[in-house]
Amino acid sequence: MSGKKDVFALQALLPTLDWVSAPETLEGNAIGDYRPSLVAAPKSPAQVAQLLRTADEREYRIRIWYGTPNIGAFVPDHADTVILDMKKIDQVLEYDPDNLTVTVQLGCTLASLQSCLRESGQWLPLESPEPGKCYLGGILAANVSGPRRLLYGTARDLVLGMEMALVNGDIIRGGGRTMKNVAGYDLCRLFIGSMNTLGVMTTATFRLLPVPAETKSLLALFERAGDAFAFTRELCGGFLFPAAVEILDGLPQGVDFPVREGSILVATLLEGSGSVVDRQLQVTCEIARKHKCNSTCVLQNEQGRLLWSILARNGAPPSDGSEVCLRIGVPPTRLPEVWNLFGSMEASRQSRAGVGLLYVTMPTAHTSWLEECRKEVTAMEGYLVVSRGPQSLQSLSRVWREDDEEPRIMRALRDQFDPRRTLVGAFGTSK
Amino acid sequence: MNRLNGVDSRMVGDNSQSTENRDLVPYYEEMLRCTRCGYCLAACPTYEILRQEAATARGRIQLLRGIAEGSIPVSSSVAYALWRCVDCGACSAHCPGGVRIEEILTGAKQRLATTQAMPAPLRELAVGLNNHHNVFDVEERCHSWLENMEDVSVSDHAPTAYFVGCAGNCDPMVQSAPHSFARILSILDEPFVLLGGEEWCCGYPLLAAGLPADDLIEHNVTVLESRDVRRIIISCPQGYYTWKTSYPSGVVDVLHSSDFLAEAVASGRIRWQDPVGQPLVVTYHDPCYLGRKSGVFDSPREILRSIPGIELREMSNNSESAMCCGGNVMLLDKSLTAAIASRRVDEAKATGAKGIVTSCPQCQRILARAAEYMGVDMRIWDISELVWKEMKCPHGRYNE
Amino acid sequence: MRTKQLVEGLSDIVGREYVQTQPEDLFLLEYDASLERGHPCAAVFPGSTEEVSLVMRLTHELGIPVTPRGSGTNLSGGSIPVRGGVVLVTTRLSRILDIDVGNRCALVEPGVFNLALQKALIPLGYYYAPDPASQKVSTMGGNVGENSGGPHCLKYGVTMNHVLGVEVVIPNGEVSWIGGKAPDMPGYDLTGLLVGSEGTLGIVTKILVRIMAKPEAVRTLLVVFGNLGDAGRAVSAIIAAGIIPATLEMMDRTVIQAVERATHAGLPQDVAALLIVEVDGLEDDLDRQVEDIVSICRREGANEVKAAKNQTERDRLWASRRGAFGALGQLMPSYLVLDGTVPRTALPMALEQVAEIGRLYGLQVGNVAHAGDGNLHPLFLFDPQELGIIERVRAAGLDILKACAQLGGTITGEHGIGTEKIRAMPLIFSQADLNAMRAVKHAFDSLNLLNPGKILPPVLGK
Repeated sequence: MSGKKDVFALQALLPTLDWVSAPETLEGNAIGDYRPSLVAAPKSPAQVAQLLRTADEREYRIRIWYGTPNIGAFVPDHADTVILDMKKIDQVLEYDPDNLTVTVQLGCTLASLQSCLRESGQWLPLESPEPGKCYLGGILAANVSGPRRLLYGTARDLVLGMEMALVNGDIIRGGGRTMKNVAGYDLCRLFIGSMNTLGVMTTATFRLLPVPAETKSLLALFERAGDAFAFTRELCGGFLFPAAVEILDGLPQGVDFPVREGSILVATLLEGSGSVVDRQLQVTCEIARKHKCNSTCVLQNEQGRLLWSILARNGAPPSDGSEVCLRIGVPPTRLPEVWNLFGSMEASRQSRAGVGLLYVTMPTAHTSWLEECRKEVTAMEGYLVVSRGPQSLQSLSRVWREDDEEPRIMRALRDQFDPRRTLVGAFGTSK
Repeated sequence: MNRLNGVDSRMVGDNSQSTENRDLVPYYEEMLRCTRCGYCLAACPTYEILRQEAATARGRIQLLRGIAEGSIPVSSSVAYALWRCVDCGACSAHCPGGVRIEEILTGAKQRLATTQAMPAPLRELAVGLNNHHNVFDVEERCHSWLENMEDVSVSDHAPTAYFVGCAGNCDPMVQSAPHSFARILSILDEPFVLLGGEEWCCGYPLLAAGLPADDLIEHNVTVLESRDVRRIIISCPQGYYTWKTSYPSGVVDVLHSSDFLAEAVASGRIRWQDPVGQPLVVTYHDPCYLGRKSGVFDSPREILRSIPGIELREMSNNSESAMCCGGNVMLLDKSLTAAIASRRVDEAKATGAKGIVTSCPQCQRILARAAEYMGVDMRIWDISELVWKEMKCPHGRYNE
Repeated sequence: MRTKQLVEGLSDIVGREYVQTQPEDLFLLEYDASLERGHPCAAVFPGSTEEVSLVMRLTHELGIPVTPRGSGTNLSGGSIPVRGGVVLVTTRLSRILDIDVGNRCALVEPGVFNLALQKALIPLGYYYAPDPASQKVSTMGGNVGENSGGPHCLKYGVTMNHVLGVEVVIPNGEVSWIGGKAPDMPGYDLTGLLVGSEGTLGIVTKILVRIMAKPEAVRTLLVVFGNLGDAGRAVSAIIAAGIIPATLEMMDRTVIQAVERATHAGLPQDVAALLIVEVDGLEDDLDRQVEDIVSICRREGANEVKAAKNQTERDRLWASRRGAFGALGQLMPSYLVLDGTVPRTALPMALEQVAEIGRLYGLQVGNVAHAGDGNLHPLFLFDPQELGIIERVRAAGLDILKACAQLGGTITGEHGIGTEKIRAMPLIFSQADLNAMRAVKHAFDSLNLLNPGKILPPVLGK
């Protein structure tokens, strides 16, 4: 074991990198009360690779900052942990509107990329709870997604190629620029959602879509959750193609609409050409009425936009409170059961109906009760994860199987790519 | 010297040094045209059951190519793979490259038939055909159905002969089919000759096995000429095809019984009884040698669609893509035939039909036995039987 | 000695009748639909996941290579046992295990034909989107191994986008279930990694796939061009206009002639290129989309546009497209089908270069392309008996891959690297890239026994 080690020693070894030490600037890397004393902000993928290699050789650990404390962030417990902030690696390298592809460095935020694409009438169909803060790199590392995944898929369906920096100093490429590509192993899929535990993704090529001509949202109110789920089941299983379908047990704060206490709401997003949206709207209303919907209302423009940007938060409140946020995944047909599992006055629920996700937010929760819930969910071929909560619930933020043992193949892959475990993932947590 | 229809029996079981390689070379260029795309695998009934490369056209061709190139020796298992083909033609119908698969396989069989590699059951078949002139090698005259024919008027001389085929003649299970057709001819006042024991097997089983059928062909032609027959109506599709392709042309016109019936229906000679109760739901099974190989798809369907008491529902694989009943491989591998036939019965069941209509006594007996074995309640009709059952008798006599 | 031990061991696991050792049986496992060849020492036909697992454990212990095989219709040599060993044939694992309409997924064994799954879904009003041209004979296991595409992947994605989970046996015999019916199952996306891994990381023994409700309506158009470049430009223009057709397929003159000879589908002859364009979705919108496509095509120089009037016509059009490769056998005894991808807008340039390379090497060329994805399939037609022809054809093929790489594309869109394209890997991957892939392989298969000799070039100096 070498002598006392701290990040400043590493800084001295890599003077060409940008290092941030000014306290005001480091506010941006705060996690609750914790403030780092030094953050590495490389200016290029080559510098990222250099940092990884040096850190690996000198037995430092790297933790990656994704622009927000809500992804992959935890307070480091070692002085030898270096925080890597990708904020300076944020350029759009190549935008090819004719081919509907864009290659962008992953320190760029989603909002910033979208505004660049919108000028050509295109967009990247990905969502994040904090599009202005969260780096694209965080979205890929944690496989973040929002309501529109129902129609557009998630990161794995949208990434055509990427560049990654490995702890041995190599910069490698996976994939390419085309949709049809089966050359070699699909490293893109391996890295997406890996919390950068195999290497650090630095650049990615995404496929894009034209911005839809028309967008409308339907709010449908139900008295009983069973009816709401039957409605969404029929809606998602037929020839319509809603962009998003969310079941809520109350309107999110900030959305202004008269709703009777105790109602179950289903919010449906329809996008496409005008005639397609209108026809879908009409058919959706018919299906809703068939399942005993009490009332419907169409939201457009600003109201609709606000609703969906809130829903993209996946139930987590914007402020850094002490709430407990859960993320539950089950086969979609089991959603009604898990919905009922968390039915209490204090829990607010948001279900991505067609997909099989449930987000639950509660002021507090007991570990033992959550363990029980987790067992039930596991028995349904699902999983339960605490995506935000106090330290006492740390164990439940891990997502492995009951025996909590990292599956052998995953361990074997980590042994190949990061034998010294230099890349510290809050691995097992996806937000 | 024991002549087996042109093959010197000493050659069977011959231990001579194999010159098969060179013998197969004439088809070598055609074999090269197979690019191994594998589309034939999806079409082949034997592959559906056995799921092995040797049970596919691609595999069989590659084996022959291997023999031609000297990579593998001729052996009885290679020969077995080659002959264990139901000869349904689905492979060439699906081959996008148009490889002449049947020619390659038939040519190879012809060469290999003269060696000891030829499977024993087929050698025995040749012997049996020589002795009893029918494919079942049945000793006693198997034309017993002719004995209950008081209601049928058969001529001694007539321009038309009704040529039944081995299955119809010999298997009691399906004898009502030729019986029905004979009655129909009779009731329509269509004079016809029946050859009885003088009707020898058309020769298809030998030709399909790669053996010559000269004696059988010669005999049948001679007999017909001696009765002044100008046209034969034949129930057996293999026979129909063989008469059309392997017999000397210009001797007689050849018509399949379903074509005759369709013509009679279209011209109004055959009329139908009024339906009683709900229509009978049936499906139609295309015999490979009538449908895919001879192009006769419409006649049976026209007949069935014209019968008011019948509702026709097609199986998902019908007409050109009809699946074989598996009958032609029965001698070599009975269980394979049974498995193939069962698939077809299942497919028929899926249509909701109560019965399968076909126009081939061989298909009829194979499918009937399969249905029986499976415990499936499915009647298998030959089209003649159904026509006889549903037609209005022109002279007021009762139908059965 | 080892062979005897192997055969006895295999027989104990699956029964002697499902082990093949005879030369004529093994001869039939030396080939697939590519030009490659290998020589297995035995073949085994397991009938269950457990048997697959025990077979893999045995061969792992004995250090014997294993090559998985479905229908053997692979086009890049993926099914070829290049290092000998055992061929593990999956054709007995051919059941559709479950169709779960509520969760919109189906569970199948690897030996199920793609088309068999489609047929089973039709009565339920569902379908499985990846529909490779070989679908009536290629197996689901093969589709997973090659990340198969098909004409409809332009709008709906490739196999990777539709596999939710797999049960996989890794080289040492361990059985794992990866992914599932719940979304974003925790851990690495090993499902995504396995799809397209060409049977070199594990053998899938069950596949959970996403199924989709049939669209309300579909329109199929045949667009005729007198100029190949115009057709390519029309493709780009359609996409650039914001239309995402369900398919955009192209065939050139040579292919059209062959296909018409084989299928008599009624395709117009003596034209430079045909596009088959299909749009699907809600009835309301399709007429407008069709109008837009027609006007774009005319603007780019289309001579004629015909719409399929009914399902029969549509089926006939598709049958002609799907039989395209094999139909070339009508023109010349043999062909080599290539597979490369370029960015869509580079397609006209790529086709020009293909024609040039054909001229340079004196080879007749036909073209089929999933034009909407920029995935081209040039076909070289040749007589295999011509002296030296195979080398010439392979050299020309490599030049085409170089062209694709240079145009910003890749060296395989859907047929895989297999053995055929190993030498082309350095065109698009650096040594560091290849080392990373070797690391992945090593994590799954440290002894390099599962389908060895595929995808990755040997390490330099070894």
